[in-house]
Amino acid sequence: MNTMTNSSPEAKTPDSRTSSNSKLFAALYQSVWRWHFYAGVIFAPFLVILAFSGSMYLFKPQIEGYLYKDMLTVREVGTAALPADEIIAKTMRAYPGTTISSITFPDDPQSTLALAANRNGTSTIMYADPYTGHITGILNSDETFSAFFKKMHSELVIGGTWANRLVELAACWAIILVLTGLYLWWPRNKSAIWGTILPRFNKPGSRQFWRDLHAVPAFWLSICILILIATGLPWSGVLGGQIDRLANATNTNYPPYALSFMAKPESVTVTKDIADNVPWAAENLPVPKSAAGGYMTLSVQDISAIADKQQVTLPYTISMPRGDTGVYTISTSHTQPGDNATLHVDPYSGAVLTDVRYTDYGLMAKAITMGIALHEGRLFGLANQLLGLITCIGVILIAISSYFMWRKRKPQGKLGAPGKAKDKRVTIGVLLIMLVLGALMPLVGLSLIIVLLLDWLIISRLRPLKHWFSA
Amino acid sequence: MNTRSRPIRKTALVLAMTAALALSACTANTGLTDEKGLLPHLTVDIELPEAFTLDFAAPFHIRVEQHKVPVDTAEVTFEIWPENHPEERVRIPGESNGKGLYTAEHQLSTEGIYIVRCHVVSGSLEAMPAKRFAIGEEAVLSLAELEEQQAADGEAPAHGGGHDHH
Repeated sequence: MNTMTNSSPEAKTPDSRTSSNSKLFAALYQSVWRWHFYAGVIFAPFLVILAFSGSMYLFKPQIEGYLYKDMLTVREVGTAALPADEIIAKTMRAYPGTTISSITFPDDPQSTLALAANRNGTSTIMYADPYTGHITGILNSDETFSAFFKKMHSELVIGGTWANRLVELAACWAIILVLTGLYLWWPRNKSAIWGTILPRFNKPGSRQFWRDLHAVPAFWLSICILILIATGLPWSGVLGGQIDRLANATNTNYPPYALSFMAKPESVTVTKDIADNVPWAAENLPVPKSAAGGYMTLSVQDISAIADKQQVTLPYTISMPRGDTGVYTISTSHTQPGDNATLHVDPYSGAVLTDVRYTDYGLMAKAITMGIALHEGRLFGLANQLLGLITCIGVILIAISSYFMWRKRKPQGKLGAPGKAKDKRVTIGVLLIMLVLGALMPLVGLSLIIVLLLDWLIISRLRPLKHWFSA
Repeated sequence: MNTRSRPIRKTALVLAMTAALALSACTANTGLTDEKGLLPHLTVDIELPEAFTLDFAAPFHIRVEQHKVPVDTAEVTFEIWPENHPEERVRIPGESNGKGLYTAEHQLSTEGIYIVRCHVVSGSLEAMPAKRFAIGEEAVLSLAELEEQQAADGEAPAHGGGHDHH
């Protein structure tokens, strides 16, 4: 351990007054190290996957802009755009079996319109030239570059709830890795710059070399890693739900109808006569001399005009009403948050039923919105993307260097885990801290219970296992 | 001293209350909503004549409400035009009959499908619902087909343009 840290507690000169203290610190160090080691061995592979997929997703605008350039940009900017309804009708005629659920209007005259379309059961994105109405390309929604890395980032490619919970578990344990890592890194000599904020490269390949390559960048990036995890957790299945409940309890959440994918209101126009206004059509009655129809659905063009009138700034998406009582939804898709708007509009009368802007969000909802933009590298342009990338590369480097540190130290026939602390009180004390963290992060708590049961029921009862795990 | 401090205390209280009001006004958008969470809005119900006869003035009624209370101060304009011929649009101001009812009369002299749209403005609120109606048997049949097709489009994926004849 002495070579491991720049100044481990054991290295202190024994002093009668402080010897019991330093023993306690040594035990504490040992115990924290043991937790850090096990958490790292188990979760580092997942964190590497998250860092890799995240670094790819960060550059979605640039990479997809390059990959799908011909679809996303028009050949020639025309003088006037066609009415959206004409483009939709034309598309549905040209591609039978297609229904369009939403249309996204860009803020750049060179960009194409994006139509979210269901084509014979497959959800696709169709890009249309707004000046000619021609489809410039079709992508399967779940086969795009970003969809692949998004799935890797949230469901480890395999998909499903289990994978998603595993990602959340790894992210929560990463918080513990950072906290325990910072404790292990904490300089115990006042003057130790080398090995804390600057790495020592004088013995390449040595354990100290790998330790510094692990601990020094980890220290520098610790705040970035914590911020990335914190801004990602509102999406998570278990802790995300708790964050949502906390925001509700403190009245700082998103107001109702704030987000386009949340529940929508119903149309307020009386539509009772739509279904039953042609009774004579089904039966063999004479055709009347005159008849009244039902309410007409407003055109997308009308809704677009309402969006402009309500000062919703481009780019925004208009989602079609679903069923007789469905509403039109206008929602912004800006890169940077701040001008977010979601409006629900009665499809028959054009009455604006709800209009929730960023300024209407509660404090936590504002923070979560900003956090998501920061997490995705959208908050402050290229610098934000690069900061995210550096953090991702850092996480991968930290994982690699930790592997070499471990290989350097690992004895034959054993996992090479740091042994249990000699002082029982310390072991229990650290466990209690872990349990507090487990209470804050439910999946961590659950995993702790499983680990403790495994240790108690199996590992501590089988001598070879006990030896291998240094239990 | 004691008598002077009272108004000051009162002023402070008023100031504090104003500040509280101003602060709560920051979430004004959500404070204005009704029990369903909707913003103030107009509901307009168009009642078309029971039957249309050529060359007879037919009455068009609408009922305007805001939060189930009749609105009598709205500006109402009826627009009527034959389907696919918006350039033949006729604008008729709606007359208020009280209790949120507005009426316009219009005479049509050719058979066909027509559209009536009501533009309703009350303060900053607007609504512009529209309905189709048909005069003459042929027009009634095509209107029925049109409505049926629209209902199908709204509910299920489109089936590629109404080829229902075998």
